[in-house]
Amino acid sequence: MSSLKIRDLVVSVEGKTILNGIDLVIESGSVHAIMGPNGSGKSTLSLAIMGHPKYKIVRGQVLFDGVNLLKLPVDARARAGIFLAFQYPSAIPGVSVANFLRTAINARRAAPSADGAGEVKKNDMPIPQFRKLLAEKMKLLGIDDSFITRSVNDGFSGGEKKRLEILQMHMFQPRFAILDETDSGLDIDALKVVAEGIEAMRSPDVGMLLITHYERILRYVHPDFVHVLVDGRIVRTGGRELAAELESKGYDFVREALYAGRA
Amino acid sequence: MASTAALTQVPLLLDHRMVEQHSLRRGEPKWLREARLEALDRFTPDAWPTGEEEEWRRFPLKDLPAGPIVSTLDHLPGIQFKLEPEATAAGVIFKGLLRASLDNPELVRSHIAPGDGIPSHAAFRALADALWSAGSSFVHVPAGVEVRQPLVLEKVWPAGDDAMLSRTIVVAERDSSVTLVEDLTSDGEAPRLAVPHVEVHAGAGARVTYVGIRRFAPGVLDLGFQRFRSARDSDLRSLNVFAGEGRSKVGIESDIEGDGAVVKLFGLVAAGDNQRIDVNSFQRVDGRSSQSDLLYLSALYERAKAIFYGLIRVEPTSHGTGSYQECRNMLLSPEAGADPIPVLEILTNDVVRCGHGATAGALGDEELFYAMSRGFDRDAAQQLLVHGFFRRVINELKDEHVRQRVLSAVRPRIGNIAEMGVLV
Repeated sequence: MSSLKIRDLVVSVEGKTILNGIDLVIESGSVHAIMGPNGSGKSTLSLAIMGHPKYKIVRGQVLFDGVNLLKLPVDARARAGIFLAFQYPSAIPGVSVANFLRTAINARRAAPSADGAGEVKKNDMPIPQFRKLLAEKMKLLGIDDSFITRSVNDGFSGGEKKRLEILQMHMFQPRFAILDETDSGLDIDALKVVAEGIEAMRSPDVGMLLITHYERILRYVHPDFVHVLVDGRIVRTGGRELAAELESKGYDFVREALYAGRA
Repeated sequence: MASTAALTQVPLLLDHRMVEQHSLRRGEPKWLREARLEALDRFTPDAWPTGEEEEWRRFPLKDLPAGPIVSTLDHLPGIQFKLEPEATAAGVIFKGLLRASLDNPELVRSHIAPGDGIPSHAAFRALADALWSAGSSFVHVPAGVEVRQPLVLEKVWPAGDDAMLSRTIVVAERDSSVTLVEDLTSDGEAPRLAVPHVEVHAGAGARVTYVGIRRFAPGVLDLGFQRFRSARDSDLRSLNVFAGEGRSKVGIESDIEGDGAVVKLFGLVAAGDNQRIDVNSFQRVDGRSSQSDLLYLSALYERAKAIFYGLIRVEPTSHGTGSYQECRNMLLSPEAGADPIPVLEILTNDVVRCGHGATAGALGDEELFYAMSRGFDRDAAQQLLVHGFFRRVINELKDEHVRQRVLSAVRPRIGNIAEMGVLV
């Protein structure tokens, strides 16, 4: 069992505080959804956990099995088992999907030297094993063969980019996955495929944080907990029914309730 | 005969006797000696760049290597002219230039005249044409003959301080097809001059690819020149790879001399330390519906500097041509620099397209972050992005062996992280 514990996380971007003290515990095997209006800090939370250099940690901790992720470089967080499916994935022209996946898997399997400065010990995945794994995952996600020879996200449609994020998640087998608005910009068919890909990742060993603006994806991916993020704070936590309530009443009702309660 | 020995403007001493002795010692025929002397006549004080020329303003011609300008090295050790049996049977000639001059004098004679090109490079062309030595080569492909396997010349100059002056002449007759790869390496670290002078003639309908890989040692000052001539309906591609450790100032001229010719000029620069790689190109676009496109990509490490001055001239006699010049520079250290300068001279209104694009910048933070979030450390992520950047040019090469040769040349600079997983 793993757990991701976010404690009193305060994050700023270019001097402006975006997250105002997030506390959240996610155990492996569970799926948490974070919903919130635009500008509430949803993407900031995902990018801060992964270590984007633009996001400054003002205070707080993100403990993954007791290790403070915020002290680790980005790649070490990935190798510790954290995966972020990006809302806006970058293109890497000239590097094919297959090449990227295999190189990344091998980079993740390589053992850093004990002192952190010497030669990295390689432990490459044999090519036949890689091919088999890739074929399985592509079949699972209904991805066409031609996909893997194209350059990473280069000229990809919105749906293709999201599908590649899900394929990467399946190939890397992380212990904890953050999906940042993976549903945005998808038509209903693409949404179903992506949602099935997320559902297929569910296991007692994997924790997930699903960040979304809309309730739509939660018809296909069923979270154990739903949190509402407003102005950089989690203001409500509930079950699946909270998402339906948000969908029917909009975010204003939460905000109104929040500020009325304070007054 | 003019001697430059007394002329203070020209820092290299070169005279008639020196050229004649060089030719006599090598046992060359008289006509070849005369061609060398004709080249010497072009080595005049006026030909030497003053530094005021646009092409030479950013490359100071000082501290010329002091080693001998005449090399007594007649053959590069280990050089091989391997030709597939079908090509030999079809009359393809692929030899050292002196050997070809002795065996096929009528062919070499018609192409040995001193080369023309960008005026401010005339002195260095003349130098190479007058005193060429080991490493010079000649390729002739008869009309209609297709050479399937790339011709590969591994030219390794042994350590020394003598100048490395060479000529490469490629003649592809009508409707023929050939790829020549020249991989230029030198040993030792002594200051030394190199002038590889390359002339490629693509006949009507010919398909020619020229790949020049430079892996010169530190201390080498490379003042090479290349001229590509394209007859009608020909398809000519060139790739220059700057992967060595010396300084380079290379002039490249492409002349379209007929309708419907297609020219693609590619370049890769992988430089570090205090290297300065300065390329100036001249794309002369003429004929009806011809096309000339240039794409140079640089990955610059440490304090390396890439300078690119490129001129496209669309001639008044042309109709409906297309041309482009693109120069992209990736700065991988805060001290690295790039100076891309594109110039267009469009002398007709009858143009389909003509343009340029030039950039110089660091790796994108978002791309680095994305790659690192997949488990690549910063160094590996950088390697991956540079590799992808270069792939845009490398993928233009059709032959996998040639691609691998280019990758192996740039590997010492850009690393091999992205190659370890090569599948497609």
